[in-house]
Amino acid sequence: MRIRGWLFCSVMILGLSLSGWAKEPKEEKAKPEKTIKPEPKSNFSFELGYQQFYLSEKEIFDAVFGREYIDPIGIRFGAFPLKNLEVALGLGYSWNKGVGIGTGGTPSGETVRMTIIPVQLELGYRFDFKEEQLLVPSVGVGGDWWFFKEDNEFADDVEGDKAGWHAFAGIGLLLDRIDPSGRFFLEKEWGIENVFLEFTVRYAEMNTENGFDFSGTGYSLGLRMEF
Amino acid sequence: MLFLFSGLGFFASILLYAGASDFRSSIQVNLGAKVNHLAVNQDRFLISLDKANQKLKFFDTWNWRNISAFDIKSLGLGDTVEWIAVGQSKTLYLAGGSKRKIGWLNLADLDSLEFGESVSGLTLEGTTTLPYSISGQAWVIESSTAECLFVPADTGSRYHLYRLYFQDGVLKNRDEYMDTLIVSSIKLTASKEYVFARYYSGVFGAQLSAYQCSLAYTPTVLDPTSFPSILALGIDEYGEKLISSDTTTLAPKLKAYKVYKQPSPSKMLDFDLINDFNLSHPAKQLWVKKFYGEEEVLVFFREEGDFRALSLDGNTLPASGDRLVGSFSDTSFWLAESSSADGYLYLAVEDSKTVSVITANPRVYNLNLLSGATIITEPGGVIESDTFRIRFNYDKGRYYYLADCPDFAIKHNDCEKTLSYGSLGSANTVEIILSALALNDGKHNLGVFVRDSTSSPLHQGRNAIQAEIDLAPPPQNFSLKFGDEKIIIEFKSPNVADLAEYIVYYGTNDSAPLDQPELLDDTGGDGEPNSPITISYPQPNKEYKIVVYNLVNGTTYYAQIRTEDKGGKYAISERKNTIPQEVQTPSEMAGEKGGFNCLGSIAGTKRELKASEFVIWVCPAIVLLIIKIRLRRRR
Repeated sequence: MRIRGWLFCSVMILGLSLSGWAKEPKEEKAKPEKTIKPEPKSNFSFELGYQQFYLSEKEIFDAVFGREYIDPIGIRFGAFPLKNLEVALGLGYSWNKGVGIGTGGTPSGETVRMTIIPVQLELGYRFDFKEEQLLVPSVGVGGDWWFFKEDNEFADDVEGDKAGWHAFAGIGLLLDRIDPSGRFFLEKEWGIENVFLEFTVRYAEMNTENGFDFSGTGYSLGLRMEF
Repeated sequence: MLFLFSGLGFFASILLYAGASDFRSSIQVNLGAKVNHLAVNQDRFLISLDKANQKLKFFDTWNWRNISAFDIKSLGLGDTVEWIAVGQSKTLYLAGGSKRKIGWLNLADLDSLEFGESVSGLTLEGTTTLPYSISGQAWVIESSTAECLFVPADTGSRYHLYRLYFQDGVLKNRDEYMDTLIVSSIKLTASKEYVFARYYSGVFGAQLSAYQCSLAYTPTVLDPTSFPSILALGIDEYGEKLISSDTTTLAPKLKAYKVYKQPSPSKMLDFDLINDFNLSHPAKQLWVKKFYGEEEVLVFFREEGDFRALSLDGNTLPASGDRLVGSFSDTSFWLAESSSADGYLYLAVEDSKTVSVITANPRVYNLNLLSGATIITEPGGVIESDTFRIRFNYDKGRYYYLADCPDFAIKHNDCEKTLSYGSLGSANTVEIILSALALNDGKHNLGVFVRDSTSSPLHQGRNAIQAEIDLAPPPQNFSLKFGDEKIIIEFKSPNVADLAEYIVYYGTNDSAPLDQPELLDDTGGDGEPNSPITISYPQPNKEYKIVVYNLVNGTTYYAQIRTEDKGGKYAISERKNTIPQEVQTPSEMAGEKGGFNCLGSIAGTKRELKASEFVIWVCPAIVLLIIKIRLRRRR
């Protein structure tokens, strides 16, 4: 039942984090005016992205599906309990079709379909200090839980999950700087304060005790909105 | 044979024109009936009127073939039909009944005519009767919403001009002009937008007026003093270059005018005289035409029996340089054109039976299917030999394209599916071998295009022929794959409606002859289902997958498919082979057993949290808690 324990912890983390924006921090004493305004604190973020995740153990995927990576599309919700500190939950979806491999190593006619749904909970820090900062680097770590299902045309289906952790580093390009009029519209109509084009590299270590090894490095490109 | 040019005697290449421009080719088309009026409709159908026999002749210029004549006596337009006129729409206007009764009929059915089909079922959509007899040529122009027929009429002593306003083939309005002007002579010409009438009025003298196909437009009267006496006038399609044949001086001349619109908001026209061109004899008829792919605008005129051409430099006539296009008898010429659309001009002399085609386009002729018009695979024939040959001649050009054209839409643009293309040599003959299997069953309109360039502007000659394909084509994308103690046969049926059945043979006997696939299963066709496997009345364009179970791993199996159509024709596919063997799935390759180990309660297995996972999950919580506590202390 320990697993329930750390799941509980995870929920607590999220809960504590969400309480961060319930109260505004005390106003600090008046300081002399600065020429550079700090970036206002955002409360939430949402990202829609595409990732190519290159598996460390690529031989099986390469033989069956003809490529060394999976390419999930995904969404990611984030919350800022503190300025620049983000807790995010990501959900991806990847689907691949291939064929089983004969004993001679040649592709057969038996179709295999593989569905992978990676779920990631992560804590990240965004180096966003100035208002309208063009490039915003970010780093972070998080835990992974991946669901997989293998649908075989002629053999039994196999499904299960894998857990692990990941670290990431990314950089966001503030699109508002490129199109200020668009920013005004998004902020007025939707409450979106910033829109980034986000490029992220994630390194994941997954449970490899038996079976599939989903460890690897992923490169993702996404559109990120902060509210 | 309708398809053979020589049999009909349609074409005899005659070098009529050898000027500086590229208008060297001229073809003579024998319509088989006298030409008393000539017109082109839809940039495709050449239409002539034979007054003596009361017949309309149709000629399809997209495939250079005669369409049978249409008897117009039955239309009910009085004793005889005297003239015809067409615009860009599919309406043909005719006049009969002592040239007072005008009728119109719809030519839309011409579009769907097959090779060799007759024109039939043409009936009048409506008629109207003018108070006076029609005199001279009528002109058709259009606006965005309507089409107008401008008809000069003669009371015997004075002329009137009528405008018949049509919308969707229905006469909506009829206007009469010049009824109070005592007009003693009238000449008409037209651009796309305006009809120009030069008339001599007892009230105002010589005048030039412009009319539009608009109920709201008031006719423009241009400068009344510039056209005291002319024999003919013509204008280009854009209504900017007006040429008149002047007889006011002893030396006959052509005169060039620039026509332009007055500054907005005025809708009136104005014009300037540019210059003259001296003639040996008065030009009794003239036309201003531009050819597709050509820069220059040409003035064609009849000087006695000579048909001559002169290039305009902008709006200016050159000092010299008129060129003889052809010499004919000194009588009225009929000129019809699709020159601005595809570069063809058609010229006929009154009462002749031939039409001269004036063009700079390459000529494509003697187009033949060497295997005959109907291509049917021989019983028991080998599929790879189901080819046919097409041969044609050309007089110039650098590239050819052969295309499968849907619904005979053979326009100067490409048809949809190119079957063959290549560069042309100097032999003036091309022979192409095509696979009938590349075409589905049914009639195919094969268009041949010869071009002098691969990019616009270009000159393009064309011709077309129809082939009927009736084959039992083998399945497409036929594949044979192995599984564990099984083989998997996949194929796709072609888009052919008359397939009767597929018979799939498999077995281990490779010594069976290729044309006897039934012998494959003598020794090894012991799987489930048994060989042969029959699919009756397969659906067109459908993917089929057959799995044969209970086979022996390590044994080579062969498969072939026999296709039969409803007519009894058949084809046998190539032979493929594979060896069933054990197959590993990805999970088997990785040793993956599955199960929800990370959510232990779901999978029923215990889950130990690793130290690394502990750090990842718990550390962020601790950090957050510390930060929170510090913040609260500050408050």
